[in-house]
Formats: sequence, structure tokens, C-alpha cells
Amino acid sequence: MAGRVKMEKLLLRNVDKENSHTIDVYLKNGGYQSLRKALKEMSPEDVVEEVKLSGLRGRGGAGFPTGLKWEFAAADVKEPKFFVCNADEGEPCTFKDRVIFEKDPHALIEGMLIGAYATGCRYGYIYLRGEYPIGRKILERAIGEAYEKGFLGENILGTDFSFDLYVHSGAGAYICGEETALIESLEGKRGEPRIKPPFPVNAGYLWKPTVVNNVETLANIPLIIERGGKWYSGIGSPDCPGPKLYPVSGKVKRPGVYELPMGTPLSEIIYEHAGGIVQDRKLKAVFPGGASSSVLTADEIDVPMDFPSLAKAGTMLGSGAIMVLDETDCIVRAALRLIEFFRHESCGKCTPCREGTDWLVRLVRRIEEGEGSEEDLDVILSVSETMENSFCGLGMAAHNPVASSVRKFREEFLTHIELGRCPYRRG
Amino acid sequence: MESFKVVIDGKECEAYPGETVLEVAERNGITIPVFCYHRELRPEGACRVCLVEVEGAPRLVTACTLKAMPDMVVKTNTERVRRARAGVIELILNNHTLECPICDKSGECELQMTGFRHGPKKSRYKEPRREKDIVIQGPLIEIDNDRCILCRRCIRMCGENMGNRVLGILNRGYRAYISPFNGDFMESGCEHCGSCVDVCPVGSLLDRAFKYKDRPWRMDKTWTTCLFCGSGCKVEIDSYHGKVKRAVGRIGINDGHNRGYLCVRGKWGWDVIYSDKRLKEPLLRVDGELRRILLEEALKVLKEKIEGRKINLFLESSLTNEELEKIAAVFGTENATSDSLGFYNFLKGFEKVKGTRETDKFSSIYDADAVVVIGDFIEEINPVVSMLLRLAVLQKGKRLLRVGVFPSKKLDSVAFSKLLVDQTEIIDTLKHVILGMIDTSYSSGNRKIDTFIKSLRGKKVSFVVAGTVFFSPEAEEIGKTVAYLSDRVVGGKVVAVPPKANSLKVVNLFRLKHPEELDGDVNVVVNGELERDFPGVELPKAEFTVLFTPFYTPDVSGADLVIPVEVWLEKNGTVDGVDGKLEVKTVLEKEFSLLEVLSQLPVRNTGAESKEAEVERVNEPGQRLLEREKGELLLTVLSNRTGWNSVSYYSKNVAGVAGERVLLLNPEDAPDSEMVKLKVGNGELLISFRKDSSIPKGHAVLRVERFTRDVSEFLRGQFPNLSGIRCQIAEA
Ligand SMILES: Cc1cc2nc3c(=O)[nH]c(=O)nc-3n(C[C@H](O)[C@H](O)[C@H](O)COP(=O)(O)O)c2cc1C
Ligand code: SF4
Ligand code: SF4
Ligand code: SF4
Ligand code: SF4
Ligand code: FES
Repeated sequence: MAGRVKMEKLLLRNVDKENSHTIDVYLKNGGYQSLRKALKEMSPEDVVEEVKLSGLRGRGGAGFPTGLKWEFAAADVKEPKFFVCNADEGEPCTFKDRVIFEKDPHALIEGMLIGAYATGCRYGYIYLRGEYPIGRKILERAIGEAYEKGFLGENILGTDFSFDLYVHSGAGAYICGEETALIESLEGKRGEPRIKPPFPVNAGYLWKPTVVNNVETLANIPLIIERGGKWYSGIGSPDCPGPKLYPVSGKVKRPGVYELPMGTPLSEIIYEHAGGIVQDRKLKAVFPGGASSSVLTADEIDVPMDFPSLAKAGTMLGSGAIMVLDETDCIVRAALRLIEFFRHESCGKCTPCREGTDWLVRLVRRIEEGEGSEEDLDVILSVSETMENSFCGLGMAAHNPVASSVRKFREEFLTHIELGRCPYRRG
Repeated sequence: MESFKVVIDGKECEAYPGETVLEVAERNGITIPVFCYHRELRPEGACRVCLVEVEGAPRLVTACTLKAMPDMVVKTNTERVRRARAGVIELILNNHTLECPICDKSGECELQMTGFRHGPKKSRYKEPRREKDIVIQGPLIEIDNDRCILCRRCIRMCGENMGNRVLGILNRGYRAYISPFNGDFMESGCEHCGSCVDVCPVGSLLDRAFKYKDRPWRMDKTWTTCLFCGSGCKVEIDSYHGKVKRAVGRIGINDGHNRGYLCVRGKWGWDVIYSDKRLKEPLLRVDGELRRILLEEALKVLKEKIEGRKINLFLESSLTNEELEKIAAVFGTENATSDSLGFYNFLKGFEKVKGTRETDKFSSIYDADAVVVIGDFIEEINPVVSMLLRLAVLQKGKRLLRVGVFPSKKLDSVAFSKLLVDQTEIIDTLKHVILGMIDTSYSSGNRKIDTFIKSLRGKKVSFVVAGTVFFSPEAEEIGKTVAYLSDRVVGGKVVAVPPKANSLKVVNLFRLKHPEELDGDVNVVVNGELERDFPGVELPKAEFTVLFTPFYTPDVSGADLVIPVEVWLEKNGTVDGVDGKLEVKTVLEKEFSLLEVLSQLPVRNTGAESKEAEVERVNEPGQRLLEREKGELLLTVLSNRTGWNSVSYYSKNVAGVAGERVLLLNPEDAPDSEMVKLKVGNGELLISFRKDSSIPKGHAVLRVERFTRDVSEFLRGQFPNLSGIRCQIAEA
């Protein structure tokens, strides 16, 4: 397979260089040339077309076509417009965006600038996870450098295009990664999602047109402008192309962030890139797309890691974060930990998520503690069904790890119930 | 607007652009259960109980947030929908405290009803109930978070509709709970409108005056009109065995012009009935002392004393039409004064220009595109009118423009444009607007005025005059100016919001005079209190003074005959309100009735006593009258919302949240001392003050809870003015 040939590093092309976060290193390696090209040689419409041609889909989790999003925003006539980078990366085991803005912040800034130019945005915000203080320092420094060199501010590169960029730190709520909750939070309100429609592209920050894009999504933009959308669309899965960062964690020998073409099989990522399972134990289960994805069993890992393939496999790509469990791990306990996270992070606005996460925690905990019954498993599945009707993506997905574990590892749940304790617990 | 068809449960329904599926369903008699939805509130989509199935949509959708689209096919009653609903309700019920037997809401609780109809048939919840033992008590309101279903109606009601933002959510997820933002109602700026209590679907937000007092299903419910002010709000009075238990607005159900919104007076002032200052029997002065007498005796004395004598009539303006007509018949209409004198003056000016004193109903504003509101402190004087103006913007998309002197918390945040000017400039500012409406090329030389004018051009404009205007020395001149202006815009309806519940009837029935012009022999004060309704006025020297009053007012000590009457909660009748004829109803028994007493008095035969004396017509706007010399401030004396009509003085409920007496000064006008001496004409008042940068320079606001003797004396000679009074301040 093509993926086995060591692929050219694209998103991570700069990260191993010394002082990669400085503008000098970035410029020396061809940085801001794409911006120059976009501003001087392309109209905003050309940029949108190029991104549409590339087939780039958002890396924040939903996989929405980026070119289309930009087209909608560009078409809205309300002023001013805002361009927001979603750097709230708060999901357990997702740590891919961090690599970009800590090691290659100018790639992000350049991507934002090109996006802002394409959509007509005058102001930009990077909404940064509150627990990323180092990232904040690096980003603020990088923004300062970009201002100094004239890449930010008024009349950038002598054109009519002006763009101001700010960093806004979140206050530690996972829900603020959801784009409308992010906007509420940016406005100084309690971080809770808004009703959609209207979508942010038409009514976002201060009810003005607002583009929200993920860090990794934006880091792709300079590449697309530099080498063309056509070139980009040839990488990886045809209906979902491009390079992708896969953060791998759990029981693998080499956890870390891997850049691979979209669609690289999950088995390849685990066994080749991440070095296989620790102590060569047996793989038990994988959460392939972040903490809210449905679990895959060892038999199901030959799936290409892209949006459509994982959806077909009954789970999702999400942020692309791969969590690996081996034969010594208890699935009930894993499910419990995950649902506890979502209970803690639920904003509480809607009933299914607010109440459903709590009930699931209580049910799974009881089973984990050996106090469960078989009926509880049916209740779990039915609560999970109700949670499908949550207000936002958090609640709609939060039950996935629990429900899929019950479905695929029912025996293990039953063992807990029958034994009256966790079979994996030592002592 | 073009309507279109949607199909709901197989039924073809007509829908209009912008409507939600829930609204269309409701209009077509299809019930979809709701918790967070409320027709007066912005949809929230939070509870997820209104789920429906939409053809072509993979997920169930919340009907309350889903905009109807042409040819949409919706199903509200499939097995899938029913299961989803029951699932949501189950989640709410799991941890809900089951204390219906002691919960005040029981019997009219939406969770009970919706749970019973759409909820699961049995519980699957094995966990111990999650208690939320967070009770927050204010003076009149209590939040029992254990009963709260986090529908957030209260938050939207308070923050968006009322513009107060008292309530919010603390914590998140399953630990979230409702609280005033800093834990305390009073300190969070609660105005005790009661709207949050009204819309709470469950027994979480409670009316403390009603707590454990009675059960909803067994009380008599009587729709009547609140007569505590000119807003004339329709309100449900609940009583049991002739005793009032509570007042409820029923926001969204109430079909009055107030749509169920009330203010603190209407919601909690009902206990004036049970005030210990209620007068229980007639009193007659004998040998200098007031003695209790029987009603028959009192009537006899009264007949004797008034026979053939000319009456100086002092009228308070919240009497019913029937009472006023009877008063006119037995005491005459020519020698009367009233607390509505300023309102009368305004309408006199209006009539001079228009040829009629007829103004428009409040609801006429909904036909306009732009509503120009003239006047200040409407939120204190007619709280619900200011609410309705705010909602006209938020819910009906009207353009609201203000002309006034002081900022308004309720209105400014939704106003499209506002001209806040020095009080001496009000009339001249309106004249600029007149010129701008006549001549499209006119420039006032002031950008703000010009943009104001521009935003009215080509729009259908209505005017709402209210608040302090009727207490200004310029009332008549403003009347002329508004009349003149209204003839020069498209539409041009004018709503004059009566300060008191039946001011309109009073000014239409009686030829009002200034108290100093009264030249009768016997003083008759009906429902009034001199200090409150006629501050600074002394009763004319007369042979005899008769008081009709529900309470032991300060005037009792100076009266010769005092006859108790009922309060409005004990009356049947009508009033001519801000929105036409309004009904006043009761099931309460009363001991004394003004109408009955009056019926026993002889009708005066003064012939065709018509006040329809010709007013001289003018064809120009009014003239500015207000001036201010150097070193002077223009004073507005403002009765607090709670103190208006002395409500807090007779209502224990309202007294608990009464405002304070304080003088507000612009920091630049304020002296260094702690107290100031306020001087008006010959009057002086020593008072503490607060610097308040929202008070424009050159103006001062004296807020009072009640017009006590000292304030009244301080205002000697000012009646009927309470605003635009020239004053000086000196350090004290
Ligand atoms: C609960 C929740 C959390 C999310 N967190 C993030 C996040 O941390 N970072 C992110 O980029 N997108 C996150 N998203 C997705 C965003 O809502 C949004 O789709 C994304 O930022 C759009 O950018 P993209 O089109 O570039 O993917 C989250 C969504 C949900 C429902
Ligand atoms: S699903 Fe509901 S409770 Fe959960 S985070 Fe979203 S809006 Fe909040
Ligand atoms: S009574 Fe009125 S002001 Fe007070 S919290 Fe409730 S809605 Fe807000
Ligand atoms: S207090 Fe009442 S209105 Fe407010 S959120 Fe709770 S249940 Fe809803
Ligand atoms: S606004 Fe006036 S009429 Fe309405 S409830 Fe308050 S006092 Fe009564
Ligand atoms: S009524 Fe529609 S979500 Fe609550």
C-alpha cells in the first residue's frame, strides 16, 4: 500500500526544525509565500474554489467541507465578519492541534489569513483551550512577529486586505469546543451551544458572519494554495483527501501524533506506526475517533481511517484520536471513565445529556462495582437512544462509548454482574 | 405574507413564514408536549420533549425550534416519537422530588400534566434520588431547586423579556441550578414583577405570599383589572371562601392587553385588603373628636351637609366608571380637581390642536412600524406599559424611538434611537422632528436629531406619551406639540398612557380645575390622600370636609366625616383604560360600598351640566416653558414603583421590597457634603443623596416611597407638577 512508503511530511514539515515556532525559521522555509500568492495572484473567489477543489474536510470532528463553509461565509453581506480558529482541543486523548500551534504557529496564522481573505473577514480570534498556557505564549509571540513583519494589521502586503488577530483563552470547559458554545464564550457568556440554524457562517460572533475552523484544518490551507487543490485531492482517500494527524494513545508501544494520509487503515497505524501493543499483548478494543466514538473490536480494525469509512463501520473519525485497549483492560471501567468525563463536561442545557450522562455513570458504576443486573444493560441502551435527541454533539455522542461497549462486550458486562465484581481487578 | 401548507399528522395546515412547527400545530389543535417552550419566550430547544418526526430528516427534531417549510411532512404521534418523549420525561422524573402533596404548584403543574399524559408508565430508576437541596429565598420569591426542571423559562423571562438578568444558572451539567446571579434577589436588582414565578412550569419558583396557603383546584378564580395604575392589567385573583390568596397573571394565557405581565403592585399588592390600616366604620367629628357612628347616621349627616351646597370635589383616579358617573351626578362635575390634572392639561393641549381629546388604544401601536415614546420613568409609573413597549421591539420587531431626559433601563437597551435631551429642550427637540417630517431636506444642525428624523421617514409612526410628561409644567404644551407632530407623520396614532387606572374617565367626565380655583362650601375627597395625590395642596377652607376612603389616611385627622369604602379588589364595574373599556370583577363580600352610599344621595339638578365648553383651537405646536437659571437644577419627584399609590404603605407584601428615599444627583452637580438642603420656592428638604452618573447634569431626581408630610410641604405650590421643578441645592 502507498501508505507504507514513508510519506512526505506536510503538516509536520516544520516541527522538527530548531526554533520552528519563530517567524524567521518559518520564512526561511517558504513561509507566508502562500499568503503572498493568494493576495497578489488570486481573487477571494479563486481561493475558495481552490479549497473546494482540494476536497479538504474540517478536522474538528464533523468533517464539513471547508471550501463550502467559506463559500457560505463569503456570500453573506453582513459586516464585519469574523474568522475564528477553534483551538479548544479538550477531548481526552486528543493532542494533535497542540503540535501545530506550539511548533508551527505561523502555519496556522497563515492559514487563517488566507481564509479571512477568501471570506472577507476583518477580525480573527484563536479560541485556545484554557489549559494550554504555553501555547498561548507561543501564539501571542507569533502574532506579534506577524504584525511586525506586516502580515497582520492594515493593508497587508500593500493590498486592501486588513486583518487583526487575537488569542482568547477559554476557561476550561470542553463544551466550548462546540462552535456555537465557543462563540457564546467568546462573547463573554456562559459556554452553551446555540440553536442551529442560523449557523455561525451567517450569524456567529455578535450575530455576524463567522467562520469557525479547526487548527489542523487551517494548517492545510497554505499547502493547498502553494501546491494546488488538485495536488491535495490526490492524497489519501479520494472522497476525503489530505494528510491527517492521528494522535495515538493507550496500550501501544509508541504513542504519539502520526501524520499519515487520510484513509490509512487503523491496523496499520496501530501495528506499524505506533509499534503494536505493549508487551505484545492482544489488542482488545479501540476507540478510533476520540472519547465519544463507538468502540471497535480487534476484528474490526482493518478499516480506513477517514470520515465515510468509519461512519460505515458504525463509529466515527471525530478528531482522529485513537485510543487502544489491550486484553488486560476492563471495558466496563473504560466506558465508566469516558462517560464520567462527559457527565462532568455536559453544560446541562438539555435534558437528555444532563440527566442521561448522570444516569449512565450511575448504571455503569454500579455494574463496575458488581452491583448490576442484566436489565441494567437494556436500560443503558435505552438511555443511550434517548440521548441521541440531545441538543448538541456532546450529548448526541457521549453515550457512544458506553452503548457500543455494552453491545460489543456484553459478555464482559455480564461477567461483572455474575461475579459481583470486576474480573480484572487484582487483589 | 404568503402562507403555505405543511402536513402535520396527515392534516394539511396553513403556515406562515417564520412560524415554527409547534406554533402551526398549536393553531391547528394538535398538541405537542413542551417544557422549555413558552409562547412569550424565545425558543430554547433545551428540554427536548417536543420531539417530532420530519419526513426526510434522520433525527427527531424539536418542534419548538423547527421553522415550518413548504410541504414539510411532520408526524407528532408515532411510536418512535412517543418513546423518545417518554424517555425525556423519564429522565426528568428520575430525580424529581415527589412532593406533590405539599407543593403549591400541584394541580396546575405542567410536569404533572405532561408526565401523566406523555411520560413512562413505570419507573426503571434504581439509583438513590439525586437531591438538590438548594433553596434560595427572597422576600417574595423562593426558588426550590429540588423541583426545578431547568427549563430556563425564568432566565429568559427575566433577562430577555424583562431586561433584568437577575436569574442565571450556576454550576453545569447535572449539578446546574437556578439562582439570582449573586445569590440574592434584592441585590441582583429584582423588580419583583413576578414574571419568572408565573412562567415556571413546576413548583420551583414560588410566590412566598402564597406558599402553603391554598390549593389551585379549589380556589375561586376571578379575572379582573388591576387598578393600581393606568396600565390596567388583566389579572386573575384567586380566593377561597371570600378570602384572597394570590394574584396570578397567567402570562401567555391571559387575553388582556398586558398578556399576563404584571408588576410588583399587581402581583403582590392585593393584601391591601387586609391592611390593618383599613377603616372599619364611619367616623364623625363631634365636639372636635372623631367618633364611630353607624352608616345610616353618616348618610344622614352627609345629606344634610351637602344639601344645596357647592362641593369642592377631590378625586383620585382609580375609581370605576360607575362610581365616577354617580359622583358626577351627586356632587357635580364643574368644581372638581384630581390627581389627573396634569394628564387633563396634556389632553387639553392635544385637543386645542386636534379638535378632539380622543387618543388611541394601546394596541394600536402594533399596527405601526415605529413607536416614538415620549416621557420618562414609565417603568416606575406604568411598569407593564414599559414592558409591553420593550416586547413590541423584541417580539414584534417594532422600531422604538425615545424622546426623554433620563436613561431607561427597560427601553434603552432595545431602542432603535433615542434623543435624551435637557428637560428644557423637550419641546424644541420635538419641533425639530416636526420640521424634519415636513421638509425632507431639513437639517437641525444636530446629527442625532437628524438621524432620529431619518429613521421615521416613510414609516408608519405611533406615539406613546407616558410617565413624567403628565407631571411637567409643560404638559399642555407637549400635548399641543405631539398633536401637531402626529398630523405630520404616516399613521400618527397617539396613545396617552393614563397615570392612574381611570384617569381617562375622570378627565372626560369632569371639568378639572386647579385646587386653588375651587370655590365651594364643602370638601369631598374620594379615594384620595392629600399628600400623595395632591402634594403641597391644602384643603380649601370649607364648612365641612367629607372623606371617602378605604384606609386611615393622614387626612382622617382633619376630616369632619369619614366614610369607609372598598378597595378595587372588592369592586365590580368598568374603567376606561389604556386599551379601551376594562372590566373589574370580584367575588369578595364587602362591608361598605361607595356606589351604595352614593346611590342614597340625591342627584343634583344642575341642568345640563356639560363640560363640553369649546376649547379655543390653535394650529401650532406648543411653546417651551421650562427655564433654568444658573445654579438651578430641574427636579423630578418620583414615587417608587412600590410606593406608587401608596401600595407598599398598605400592602405588607410589597412593603417587604419597598424602595428607599434618596436624592440622585449627577456627580458634577453633587456637593462634597453627605446631606444636601434641597430648595424649591419656599420649601426646603434636608436629605441624603447619591451620586448617579445616569442622571444628566442639571437635573435631580428625588425618589420617594411615599409623599409624606415633609415632602408634601416641600412641594407647596407645585401641584400638579412633579417634574421640571426648579430647585437649588446647598450643602448641609
Ligand atoms: C462537544 C464538542 C466539542 C468540540 N470540540 C472541538 C474542539 O475542541 N476543536 C475543534 O476544532 N472542534 C471541536 N468541535 C467541532 C466544532 O463544533 C466545529 O465543528 C469545528 O470547530 C469546525 O471546524 P472544522 O470545519 O475545521 O472542523 C467540537 C464539537 C462538539 C460537539
Ligand atoms: S448535549 Fe445538551 S447538555 Fe450536553 S453539552 Fe450539548 S447542550 Fe449541553
Ligand atoms: S420577579 Fe421579575 S425581576 Fe425578579 S427575578 Fe423574577 S422575572 Fe426577574
Ligand atoms: S425555576 Fe422553574 S422556570 Fe426556572 S428553570 Fe427551574 S423549572 Fe424552569
Ligand atoms: S402595571 Fe399597573 S395595572 Fe399593571 S399590575 Fe402593575 S400596578 Fe397593576
Ligand atoms: S419545548 Fe421544545 S425543546 Fe423544550
